[in-house]
Amino acid sequence: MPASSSPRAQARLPLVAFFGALSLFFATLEYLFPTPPWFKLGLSNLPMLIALDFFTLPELLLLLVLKVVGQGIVNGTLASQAFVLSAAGSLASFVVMYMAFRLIPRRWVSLIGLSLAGSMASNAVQVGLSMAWIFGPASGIIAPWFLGLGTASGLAIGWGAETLQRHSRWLRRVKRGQSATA
Amino acid sequence: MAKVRQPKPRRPKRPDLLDTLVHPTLRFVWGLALIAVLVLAPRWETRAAVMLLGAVLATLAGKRISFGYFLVLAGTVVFFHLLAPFGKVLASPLGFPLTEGALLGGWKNGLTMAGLVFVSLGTISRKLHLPGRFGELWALTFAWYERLMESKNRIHPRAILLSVDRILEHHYPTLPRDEGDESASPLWTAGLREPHTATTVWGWLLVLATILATTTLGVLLK
Repeated sequence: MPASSSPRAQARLPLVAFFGALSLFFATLEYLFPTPPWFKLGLSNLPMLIALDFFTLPELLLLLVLKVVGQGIVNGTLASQAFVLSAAGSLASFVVMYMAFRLIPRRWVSLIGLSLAGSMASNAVQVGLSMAWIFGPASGIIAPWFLGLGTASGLAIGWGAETLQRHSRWLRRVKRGQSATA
Repeated sequence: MAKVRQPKPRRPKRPDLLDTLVHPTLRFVWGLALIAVLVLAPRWETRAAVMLLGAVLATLAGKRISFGYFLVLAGTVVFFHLLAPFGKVLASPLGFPLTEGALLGGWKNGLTMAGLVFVSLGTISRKLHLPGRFGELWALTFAWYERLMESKNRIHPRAILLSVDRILEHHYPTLPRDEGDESASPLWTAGLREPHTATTVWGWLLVLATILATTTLGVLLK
């Protein structure tokens, strides 16, 4: 178990599991939106963005594993190159978002900014991997579209996360529950 | 006098028939095997067979399936594939080439997407146990996921975030439990570790027969 084994950390693990499930749920909701088959909105990133404020680094890494592997199993892509692309993109996105969240004061960067940075990192890594390893340099032809759509979806998901964080009754209850157990 | 809107009566939950036949862990492995066949099958006919099998399993598992939603999903995937012409031109309405390769590719992908969800719905049980502490967390994640998926029909496209928020509130009560309010107990403190039955002979037959039949179909149609 990568997360800390203190009693408080143990009590928080179910919340990590719930956020993991939420990522899988949002990944499924992607199908509500018509997108080109080669492009994913990255809705599963929304719980990750909100989670930055809740969890420690080991808990966030555990959530990342649950999100990436869970999506691989639920979508059936675990044994394909799509899983490698998704895992690499998610890891790059997480590293960039976490660094920005920890290093830049909150008044200077919103969840929209964090989402945009994460989305750009994820898409850049996926385009790079596709060109270098899977589809060859010719796939660079879709790079501008891919990055452009990624920017738009990063902004939209950041806006969604920001809205949910400001207005969600569920999040307020989670926060109250967390402070009650602290 | 203001008219009080009566809440719609909830449809009774259908029983999970597969639960009485197949152990949750074997069911999970069964799902992975079917997903492998679905993803690796080169022909669309095999994928269609696995998708239909997934739909039957999901129904046996007590899940409600919206075929309209999956038709729209498959149609969208086909449409986007058609935008990238590939292979023999079948027709050119309004000068736009409808190609065989794009049509088949889109159809195959649409079937795969629908099949993945159906198979997952049919084979992921909330009673799934994996070994170790990580396994417990993993099982919990999938159990939550399954519960959230059961609520996806309550999502309103015009108020997605609001409806998602209400679903989360419903499934994840975080305030201290009111006395006597059993519905407010968190999943991990009540009901998760329900006892499960061992796989029956009929269960083993069902698992082996479906894996064998779909694999054989995949090999024969290669």
